[in-house]
Amino acid sequence: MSGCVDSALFIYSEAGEIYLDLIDRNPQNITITAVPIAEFRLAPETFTKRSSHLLISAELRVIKEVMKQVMERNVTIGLLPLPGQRMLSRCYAIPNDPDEKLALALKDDPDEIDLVFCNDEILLFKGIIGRVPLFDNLGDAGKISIIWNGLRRIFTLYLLPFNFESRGKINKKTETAASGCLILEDPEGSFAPDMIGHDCSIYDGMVSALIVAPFSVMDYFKLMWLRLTSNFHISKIETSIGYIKSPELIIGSDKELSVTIDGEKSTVTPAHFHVKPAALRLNHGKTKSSRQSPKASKSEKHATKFLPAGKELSKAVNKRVPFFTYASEERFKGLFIALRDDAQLNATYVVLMILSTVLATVGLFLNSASVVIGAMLLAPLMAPIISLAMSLLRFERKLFRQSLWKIFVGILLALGTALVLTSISPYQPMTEEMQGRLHPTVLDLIVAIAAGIAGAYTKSHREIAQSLAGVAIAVALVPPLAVAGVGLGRLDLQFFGLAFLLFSTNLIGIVLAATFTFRMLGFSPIVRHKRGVITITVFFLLICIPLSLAFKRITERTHLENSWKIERFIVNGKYLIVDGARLQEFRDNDVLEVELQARELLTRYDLSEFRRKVKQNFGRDLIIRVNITYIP
Amino acid sequence: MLIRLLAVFAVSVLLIGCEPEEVHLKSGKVVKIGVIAPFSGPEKAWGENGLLGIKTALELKPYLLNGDKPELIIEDDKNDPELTVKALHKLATEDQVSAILIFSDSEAVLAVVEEAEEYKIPILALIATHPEISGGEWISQFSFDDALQGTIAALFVIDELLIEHVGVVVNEDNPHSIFLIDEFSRRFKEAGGVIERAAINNDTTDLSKIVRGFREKGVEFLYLPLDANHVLQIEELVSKMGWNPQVMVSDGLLGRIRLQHGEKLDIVDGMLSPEAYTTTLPTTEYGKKVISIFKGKFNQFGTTFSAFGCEGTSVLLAAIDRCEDTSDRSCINRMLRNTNGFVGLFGKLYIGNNGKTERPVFINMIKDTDLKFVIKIY
Repeated sequence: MSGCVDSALFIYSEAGEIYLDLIDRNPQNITITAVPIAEFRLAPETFTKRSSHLLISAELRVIKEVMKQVMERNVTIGLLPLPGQRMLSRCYAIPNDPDEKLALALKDDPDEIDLVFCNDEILLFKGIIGRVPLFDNLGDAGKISIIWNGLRRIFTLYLLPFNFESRGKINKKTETAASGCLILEDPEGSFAPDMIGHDCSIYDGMVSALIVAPFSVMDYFKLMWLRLTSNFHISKIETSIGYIKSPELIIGSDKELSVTIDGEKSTVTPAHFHVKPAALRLNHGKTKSSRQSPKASKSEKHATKFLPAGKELSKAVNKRVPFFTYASEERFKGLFIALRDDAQLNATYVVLMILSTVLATVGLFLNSASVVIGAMLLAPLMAPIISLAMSLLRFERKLFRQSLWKIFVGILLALGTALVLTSISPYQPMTEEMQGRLHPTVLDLIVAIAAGIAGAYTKSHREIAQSLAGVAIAVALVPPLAVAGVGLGRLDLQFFGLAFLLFSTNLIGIVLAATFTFRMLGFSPIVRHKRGVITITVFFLLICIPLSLAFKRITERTHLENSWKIERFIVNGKYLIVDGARLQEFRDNDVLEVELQARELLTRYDLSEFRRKVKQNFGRDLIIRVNITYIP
Repeated sequence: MLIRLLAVFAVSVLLIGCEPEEVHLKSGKVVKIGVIAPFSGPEKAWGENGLLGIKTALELKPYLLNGDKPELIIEDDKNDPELTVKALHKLATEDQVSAILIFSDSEAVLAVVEEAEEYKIPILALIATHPEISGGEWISQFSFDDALQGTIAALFVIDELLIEHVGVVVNEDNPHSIFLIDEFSRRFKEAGGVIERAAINNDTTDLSKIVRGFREKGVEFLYLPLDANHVLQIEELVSKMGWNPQVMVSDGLLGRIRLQHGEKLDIVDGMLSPEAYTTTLPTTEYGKKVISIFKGKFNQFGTTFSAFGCEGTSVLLAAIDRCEDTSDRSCINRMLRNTNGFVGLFGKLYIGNNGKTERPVFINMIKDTDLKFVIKIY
C-alpha cells in the first residue's frame, strides 16, 4: 500500500495483546510480525535487522526501553497506545480509532524527534521535582478545579533549596529557592507550555525547565488569578517564575528530592538532563505545519533573575511561604534609589514648598477653591511621606531620618510662610475654604488612608506615576498647614490646633496606609522589623481618638440639623414653622441658627418661650439665634 | 512591652466604654401601685393593652433603688365613672397603695378629682386629656391636654396645610369631643378660618345629611374628634360619595380601632392624628429597650395605650425612687410633679407643678396600620 512501510515488527507486552487481532486483520496488507517484548529483549539487533519499522504497544516504561535500544539507528517507530495511555495519544496526536491508529503507525513518514534524558532515563512529556501547584494540571482544567487545588496547596507551600546549572552556549549556575521545577519536553495539553508561549518542542534540541517559586501567598494568588484568566505569559510575570532552556541542565538540591518523570517517581536529585537531538524517528499525527514551523526557538535561555537569591535565600529556604512578599533591595533597586532621592532635602523642595504655601494661603483668603487646588498640585510633601512609609516598613534609619527631616522642614516652611503672610495682610477673613479645614473627622482619615494606598501604589508602578497628582489633590497636605499657619498669624491656637490636627490626620493616615501597601506589594525587608510598623500604628490609634470624637460631633450636628427640618413649635398660642437650622461653633459654644416662619408677630416673650423649649428638648447649652420670616 | 501597653490601653477603652448595669439589691419589701383601667366592657382592650405596657416597665425596672419591689393592685372600672370612684376608694383605703395609674378616659378621671384630694393620693392619669383633670393637687395628666391638642390641630390646618374652610363634628354627649371642638374652633377662627359645625350625640346613627352638607358648602377638611364608630361611619359615607377631603381625628383613635375594630383598619388609612407617639421615628435608648422587652415577652402589637402605660409607670417609679419612704404619698406626688427631662420613648418629657406633662406632639398619618410621622410639635 502506498505511503506505508513494506513490513513491520509488532513489539508488544502482555497488555498490548489487545492489538493482535487488529494486526492479524491488517487492513493495509503489510507483512507484520508479532514479537512479544520478552523475545525482543533477547536479541533486539536481530529483530531490527529483519524489519526497520517497529510497531509498539506496551507500558510507557517498555516503550522507553525499546526507544533507547533502537535510537540513533535507522529504525522507525509507530505507536499503538494502550487504552489508559491518554498522555501518549495526546502528545503524539494518535487517533482513538484502532484502524486509524494502525494506519498512522504503519505510515512511511517518520519524523525525527529529540529525546530528553534524565539521569539516563528517557523523558517523553514532563518531569517534576518538588511541587509545582497550578502548573501540573491540564490546560483545559475547570476553574473550580483550579481554585480548589490551588487553595488546597496554600498550606503546604514550601520553598526548597535548588541549584540549576545550564551547559551549552550559556553556562550558568543559579542557586535559588523554589517550590518546584517542571521540565517540559512535549507536555501537549498541559497548561505549562501556554505559560512560556509554547517555547518548547520535540524538535528544538533543548531541555526546558520552568521553576515555580511563589515568594508569598499573595504571589501565589496572583499566579492563580493569571491561571484562572488564562492571561499567562512569562513576560508578564515579574516574580514567582523562572525559565531555563538549555541542551544540558543539572538540577540539584541540598536535599535529596525525588524526580517524577512522565508520572512515575524514577530518580532523585541531582538530576542530569540532556537532550539528544533528532534521536528518534517516530510516526505521529501532528500536522506538517507544526513540524515545519515550530513556535519553539532553538536559542538558549536562562531567566532566573526574579527567583530568590542572595540574602533572600536564608529567609526563603525550607520555610513555609509567608503571606506577604518580602524583597531584598537589589530586587527593586530603581524604586529605592527614587525613594532615597525623594527623601533628600534640596532647594527645589524648599522653593516649591514656599510657593505652594503662598498659593494656598492666598487661595484661602480669596476663598478660591481653584487656587487652593493649584497649591495642592504644586506641593512636594507627598514624596517624602511615601519615603517615610518605606523607611518604617524596612526600618531603614537613614531613610527614616532624611524623610522625617524633610517633612519637618516642609511643615516649618509652610507654617512660617502662612504666618508671615497673615501677619502682613490687612485682610484676614474667615472663609469657607478655611472653615472646611477646621473640622477633621474619621472621614478625613479614610481619605488619607485611600490616598496613602494610592500613593504607594503609584510610586511602585512607574507607568501610573502621573496619578500621583490626583492623590495629592485628594489628600491636600499643604492647605491644612496653611490654615494652621493662618491660625498662628491670628494668634488663635484653637484655629491652629484644628487645622494641624487635619494635617496630622493626613500625614499619619498616608504613612500607615502606604506602609501596609508597600508590605502587600512585596517590599518588606528580608528580616522583618516590627518596630516601625508598631510605631505608626500607635500614632494611628492615638489620632483616631480626637477624630472619632469629632466624627461623633459631626454626626450629632447633622442629625440635629436634619431633625430641625421637621420641627414645629407652639409658643404662647403661635405656630412657628422651622424652615432650617444650622449648628455652628463660636468660641467653644454651640450656636444654633434657626430659620423660623411665623404668621403672627413674635414678641420678646414669645422668643424667650421658644428658647426655653429648645433648650429643654435638645438638652444642650445652645446659643440660639433666630431669623424670622413672616408669612401672610 | 509596647504590645502589652497597647493591650492594656485597648482593654481600658473597652472597660470605659461599657456602662455598668444598674444593680438592684432586694429589700424584701413591696411598694403597692394601684392600676385602674377598663378590663371588661366595651373598652376592655385599652386596659389590657395598657397593662402590657405597665408590665414592660416593671420588667425593665423590677426593683426600686432601695430594693423594694413594685407590686400592682389592679381594679377594673369598665371605664364607668362610678366604678372608677369605687376602685379609687378601695385602693386608697383598703390596699393602701402608694400611687395610682388610671387608664380610663377623661369622664372617669374627672369623677375622681375630689376623691383624690380627699385621700391625698398621687394619681397619674395616662390617657385622659381633659384640661381640668389636673386642676387639683393630686392628679397629674400624662398625655397632652385637649386645649393643646385643639390648638395644635387648628394651627396645623391653617398655618401648615393652608386650609381655611373646615367642617367639624362634635359629639355633645362627650366632654372630650366638646372641648376639642371648642378649642379648635376658637383658635381656627382667630386665625381667620371658617368653620362649618355639625353636632351629633351617642345615639346618632344617620350622618349622611351632615356629610352631604359639608360637601355642598365646599369644606376642604374634616376635623372629627369622635369615637371610632362615628369616625368609621363618616369615612364610609365620604368614600361612597366619591369625596376625598383630608380628615383629622383625635388622639388614640388608631389604637382604639386596632383594638376594637381591627377589620376596619383600612378605612382610616390616610387620616391625620395628633399623638404622643409615632411608629416611624427612631426611638431613644429607653425606647429600644422597651420595644425589645415588649416584643420578647408579649405576642401582641403595641399601641399608644401600651406606650402610655410603659412610660407612665417608668415616670412614676422614677418619682418613687426619689423619695426616702416609698409609701410617702406626699413626697411621691411632689416628685411626680417635678419630673424634669425624663427620657421617654421619643424624647424628653416634663411634668410641672401644675400636673401637666410637657411633651412633643406628633402629627401622624395613619398608613398601613402604622402612625407615619408627619411633623413634631413642641
